[in-house]
Amino acid sequence: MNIWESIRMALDSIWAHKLRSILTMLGIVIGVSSVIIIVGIGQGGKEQLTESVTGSGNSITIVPKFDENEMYIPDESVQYFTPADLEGLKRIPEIKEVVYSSMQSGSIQNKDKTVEGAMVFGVNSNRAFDTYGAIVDKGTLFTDADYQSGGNGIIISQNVAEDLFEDEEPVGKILRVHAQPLQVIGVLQKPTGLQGMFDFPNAYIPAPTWQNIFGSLDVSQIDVQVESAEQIQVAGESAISLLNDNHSGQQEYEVQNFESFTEMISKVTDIMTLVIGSIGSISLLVGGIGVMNIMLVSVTERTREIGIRKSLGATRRNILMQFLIESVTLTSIGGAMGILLGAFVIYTIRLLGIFPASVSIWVAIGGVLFSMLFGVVFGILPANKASKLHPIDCLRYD
Amino acid sequence: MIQLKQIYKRYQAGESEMTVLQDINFTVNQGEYVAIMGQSGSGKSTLMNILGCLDHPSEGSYWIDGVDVLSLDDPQTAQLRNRMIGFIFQQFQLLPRLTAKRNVELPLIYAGLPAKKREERAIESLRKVGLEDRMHHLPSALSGGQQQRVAIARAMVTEPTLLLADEPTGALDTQSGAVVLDLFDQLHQEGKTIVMITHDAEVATRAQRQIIIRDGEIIEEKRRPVEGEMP
Repeated sequence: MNIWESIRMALDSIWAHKLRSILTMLGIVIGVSSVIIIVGIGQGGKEQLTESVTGSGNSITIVPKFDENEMYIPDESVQYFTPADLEGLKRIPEIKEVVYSSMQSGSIQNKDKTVEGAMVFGVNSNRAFDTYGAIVDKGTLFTDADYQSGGNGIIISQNVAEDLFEDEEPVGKILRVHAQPLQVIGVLQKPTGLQGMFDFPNAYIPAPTWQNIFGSLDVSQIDVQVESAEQIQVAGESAISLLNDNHSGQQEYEVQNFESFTEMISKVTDIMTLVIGSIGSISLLVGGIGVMNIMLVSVTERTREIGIRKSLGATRRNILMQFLIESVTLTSIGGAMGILLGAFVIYTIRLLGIFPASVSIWVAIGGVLFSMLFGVVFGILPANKASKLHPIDCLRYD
Repeated sequence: MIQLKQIYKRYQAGESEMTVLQDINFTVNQGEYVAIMGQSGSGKSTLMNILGCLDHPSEGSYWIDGVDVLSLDDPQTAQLRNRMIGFIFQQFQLLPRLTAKRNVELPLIYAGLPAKKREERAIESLRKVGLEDRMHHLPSALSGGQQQRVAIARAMVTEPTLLLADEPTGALDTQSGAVVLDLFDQLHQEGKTIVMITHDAEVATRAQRQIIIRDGEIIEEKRRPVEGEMP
């Protein structure tokens, strides 16, 4: 007997009990869609995290080394990176550029409005913006002249712009950082995704200007750019040994190891996904049991039909396949509907900008295959029961 | 063509054993029209189930066209039911959710015929019973007599060697019963072998030969006088 004939029979029978079929599928729909949504959110979050943490391309970050028990709070009385260090690093052949930044919290003021405790960064290169994942939305970045001679421009974060200028256009306006007048030349994009959760007010000015305002140039972090990824390790080792020599006995330095950080966070998200995913799987399991239950009822209800079919020449295998295909069709339709529902929810979350969730095609394919498997697993018992029924008992059954 | 030898059927009823059929022996030749008669509880339905390969006897042997039926496994038995036996039941046993045409197509689906051929043969079979204009109707939209004719079309569609009818007129009024019996006569004239089970003596006289059973045993065999011969 032809497989299409079996599928047609299954669809006929599912169609004949529309309400029951829909209610039966509902368990599978909810199970599959919740798994899809959870995996989608977990995966989207991980992608975003990895992207934002590893940053772009060929750069490494060097930071002062602290005891593991100590908090990462730079001691303001210590100058971690001296001008001599910076000069020395620039001479290392593998290093193309040294990007450094200083940071202090300060107040930014526009007439009667003030933002207190904003993080004011002094940077020596536009590459610093890549390092911090900051993107200029309106206006421009600094010029080379700004970096060399200390231009009076400032780039502010979107929340600072909102607080100080409200509806006014901020670019071109004058504001004050610790009484020093500066002109807004750019506004940063509102950070999305995970970074959006830590949306502190911040501002960027050229390093010489920063030194004028805050006194000494306290460099707290250095990023070195190399030509190619293969040189990263050599450059990192040379840079660390140079700094350790310059500060021998007082301070040690290390390359900030984002890899282990990323690994740890992705492990955490994996575990979270697994845990919530298993809860989703439980609803899938309950849905599967529902399918089995309905199939058993259906077998009992259709005892006479089974007898008729047997008397007309159906083998045990034919009957088994009929019921098995029916349950697989039921769970497959449920699975497909679950994927559509899950994808719809994921894309809604994305469109609303709540979270960068995504559905991969593999999860969708896996979902369909898994629900088909569920159909087999939970259909085999009722189908087997149907196939073993004795034809004369069936024909007598009312 | 059909040969039953020393068929016994026993059921376990609690502690005691009940013998439903006892030492049944008979032969049906190709093209014969035989009625098996008996009161209810005489074992005639059990005999019908055995003839239709729906049930196994406890003892004995059963041959159809030289095939030892009782030695067949499930797929072979299913194939035998599909190709060699056409069933007609008292309660018609049509599938309620399928149209007349789809009902008639069912045995051909299990025979593995392609859709187009199936349809042609189903329509042809319905035409023979005079119901081709009703082929898209569901059984519930047909009268009892019409339903039984659809069942006959379904039984005949695989062109089986043996037509087995279990009280075919039992659920019908006299008039539609007569139509069904006329159809049987016609099939018999076309050379079909028919075994009909009935408790109705009048219905049984339509057959060439009557086998009467009581309490699981054959007690009498009657042959209808051939036309022109004195009784």
